[in-house]
Amino acid sequence: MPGEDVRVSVTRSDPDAPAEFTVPRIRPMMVLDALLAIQRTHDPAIGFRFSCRVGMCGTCTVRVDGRSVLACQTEIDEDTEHIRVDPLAGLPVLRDLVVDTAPFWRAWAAVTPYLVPGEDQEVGMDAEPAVIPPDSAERETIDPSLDCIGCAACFSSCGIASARRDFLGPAALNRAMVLVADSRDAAGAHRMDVVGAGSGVDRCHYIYGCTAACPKGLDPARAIRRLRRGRFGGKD
Amino acid sequence: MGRTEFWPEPDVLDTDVAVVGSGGAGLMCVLHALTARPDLDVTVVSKGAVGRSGCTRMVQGGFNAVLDPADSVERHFRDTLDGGKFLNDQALAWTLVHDAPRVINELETRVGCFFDRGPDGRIHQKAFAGQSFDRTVHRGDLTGIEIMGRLRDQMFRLGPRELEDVRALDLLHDEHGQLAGLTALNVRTGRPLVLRARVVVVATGGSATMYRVAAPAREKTGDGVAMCWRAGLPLRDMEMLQFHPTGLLAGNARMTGAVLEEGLRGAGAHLYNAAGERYMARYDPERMERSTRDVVARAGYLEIAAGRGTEEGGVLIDISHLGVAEVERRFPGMVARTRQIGQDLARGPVRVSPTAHFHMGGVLIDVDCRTELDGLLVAGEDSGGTHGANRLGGNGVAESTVFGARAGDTAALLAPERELRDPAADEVAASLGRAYGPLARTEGPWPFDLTTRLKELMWRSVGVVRDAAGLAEADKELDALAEDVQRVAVPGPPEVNYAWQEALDLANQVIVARTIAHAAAWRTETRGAHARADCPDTEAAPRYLVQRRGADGPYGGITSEVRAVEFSRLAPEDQP
Amino acid sequence: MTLPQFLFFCAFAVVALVIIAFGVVVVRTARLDDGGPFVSRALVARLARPGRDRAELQRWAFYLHRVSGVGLFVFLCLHVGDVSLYVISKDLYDEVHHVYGSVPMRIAEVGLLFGLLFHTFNGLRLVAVDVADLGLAASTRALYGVLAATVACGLAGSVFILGPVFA
Repeated sequence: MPGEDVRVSVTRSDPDAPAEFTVPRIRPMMVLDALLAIQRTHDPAIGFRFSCRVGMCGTCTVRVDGRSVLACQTEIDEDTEHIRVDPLAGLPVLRDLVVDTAPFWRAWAAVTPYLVPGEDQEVGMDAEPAVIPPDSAERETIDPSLDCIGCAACFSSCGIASARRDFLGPAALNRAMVLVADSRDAAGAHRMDVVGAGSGVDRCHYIYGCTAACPKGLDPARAIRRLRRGRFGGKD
Repeated sequence: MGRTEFWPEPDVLDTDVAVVGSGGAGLMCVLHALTARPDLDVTVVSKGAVGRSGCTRMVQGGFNAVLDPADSVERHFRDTLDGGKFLNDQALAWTLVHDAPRVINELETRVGCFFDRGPDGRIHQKAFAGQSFDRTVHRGDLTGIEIMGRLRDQMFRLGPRELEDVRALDLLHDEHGQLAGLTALNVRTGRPLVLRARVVVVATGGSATMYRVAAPAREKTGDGVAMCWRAGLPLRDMEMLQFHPTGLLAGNARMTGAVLEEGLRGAGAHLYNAAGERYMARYDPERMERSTRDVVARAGYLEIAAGRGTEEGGVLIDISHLGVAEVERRFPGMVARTRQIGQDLARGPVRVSPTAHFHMGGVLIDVDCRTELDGLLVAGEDSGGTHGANRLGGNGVAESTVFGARAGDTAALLAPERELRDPAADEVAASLGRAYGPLARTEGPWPFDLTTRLKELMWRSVGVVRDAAGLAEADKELDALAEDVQRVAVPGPPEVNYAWQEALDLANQVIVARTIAHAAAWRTETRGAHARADCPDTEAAPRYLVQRRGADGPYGGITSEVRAVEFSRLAPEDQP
Repeated sequence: MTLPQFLFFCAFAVVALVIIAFGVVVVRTARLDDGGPFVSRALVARLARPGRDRAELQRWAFYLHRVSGVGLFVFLCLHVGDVSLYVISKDLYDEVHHVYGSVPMRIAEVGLLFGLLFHTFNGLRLVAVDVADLGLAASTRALYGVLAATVACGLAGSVFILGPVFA
């Protein structure tokens, strides 16, 4: 009966390892389920990573038919009989679908991704949290840009970052924008220098791969536009 | 003479503090240790990606902390003990409720988290089941991502040594039985590692993945508890494994078991059986769906067992009466999750089942996370006693961060006092022999089949409702599984071999499963998460079982002693 | 055909080859490095869906922008050369520039015109993304505009360029 099997092509790092598999369809079926079926019934040595399987850890990111997605959140729908799974682009492959995310995190670290409290701000277990209304301009800017899970789907689908050009990439720039907009943070000027430098926002060509790929529905391209305007004075 | 071992010569690494696990407890520990003593050499050992494995990440609902002046730490304490059916270690529970608001302060001011605010600009707290006050701090319904994301960012500031994709194997003693460090395995290269450490903090999380329907991330295989067990440490409350009442049912997809958050019931969701009855009226007419997790999970299980469940073996949760827009606004993550599997929380009922979720039991610790082995600290879900017989929703991430922080403080105090010690060679050899065994063997059972066997067995016989006959069967079957686990063989290279990793996970799961079944057979009463069909009553005075491995190895006999709970702060009959 | 004309023709062939070679490189690296799709039925199906999926067109606009940019640059290098012949000899200049009137050159010029138009309009679109803060959907719509303008102006220009061929 057609549609009862799914053919899966996987890019393997060992050219002699099997790369074409047929797994039985289950309903619902995510790409992760197909990979698990391959691991359990065909080739236990197939390398792929996952943890939470509900789109929160951001470790199972792969390219399915060329598109960077979370394997656990991508359904193989009824009329799909064949999928092709590749490792993420722009990151060195450790084995099969497992990539080394170090370049992604190096870019992330480069924007000083942590809160730098002002000198007069108290920090620690006895400090009072800031009072900031949820409808303030700053939160309206920040809130839609939080919830990044660091899955690197945007990095892989960015035509610049994934081609291993010297670019911080969408996720790191999104993080920079969030902190620059945060009134609790005091390192905004430094961060603007970083994102304004050679590997910063000017490398973006507005391909919109990042915004289209983000599994959390964030809009890194918006953050990049914001930072580009922010350079010319004012927070807007 | 050449080496005769079948594993490569281990690399040796010295560090002051070795933190095993990179979830909420592990990273809070690093934060506190390095804040107190920036000169310490801290190493994070994580079998998955640092900060992106484990369950703190998956926290949806939130974090219980007393922030409102109208609320009080005493009330939170009382709720925690009521929820835990007074089995809690009261010193630990008090520490939890007392430190929780302070940790919120720290997460906001130092770590950079930003939790949802009320209209006045102060932290918003929402209603959660089983609590007498709306005290759950949250960031939308994806609170864990905010906490773990920001803690991960702090690591870039603090710069601990991160051993990513490195699995801790065993705790090591020196010749005199003092803690010397641990063995580990680099998953990427397949090479062994001996870590000499002044202080070891175990914070790997629980082991609920050993059930067929289970909520946690795949890493949670009881590694920390099993390590401590092998090292001879005592465990308590092991039978207390919490089932969350609302786990998604998605057929054979891996998504099955994923939790639909507690806040749904807090916000007024209804639970129906297949006949359309709001069955909670039969089990807790007063609190209905807002009853504690143990009661609601058991009710769901009994409805399904009585044949009143849906075809897929579940019940229905429905919150669509709040209106599509309202549900989408308040629970975007949950709505997305249900739509993923072709259902829609905002527009109608969704099929759910109880799902194995959290292990209340674990290693005995004191309020500073010390264990009876000097230099070994345990924090988070690996420890036992804080939650007693049932954990309140929102107390989990609080426990991880509160005790992670305490472990960090303690580690910073202890590390300068303790020497680096040389691990006993025979312990290293035994540990690596166990770890490399599956790879060296050419014939033996397949780890994935054994995992399936374990999950089915635990679900059937040591599940939501237990009885003596089932537990006796489980005991026998687990002994057989333990035999098989020691014969597992996996093919393939040592590098990035997840079949091999599954075999190592399984070994730990079986150890923990045996202690759960053993303790469950001992507790001939129904209390909190532990329900016995053959012993439905609850004894007046709560007691707990402290278990320890026998001299005949980790899979051998279990020695145990019974202790009475000390009501050091509050007795059940006291007025709040 | 005289020798200078032949040399010019050869130089133009080199320009064309560079453009084609660069195009191949871009598409090949897109296949290997990018999160971009493989040229496949999956891509076509994806572009048929509106919204985020159709935004994928912008990746192909980026590739086309690069190829047209390189093409225009290489052609301009040649063009600067042939125009500077005027400095050497007026006759030589006229002789070489007769080639521009040949049928194959006119067809190539149509290609250059389309490249020039696309590169210009798309460049203006990218400026507009910054200036007018265009999001994913708006910039995709702007790309439709770019394509429409390119085709309209390109066709009009082509009539003008190719007219003498059919006259």
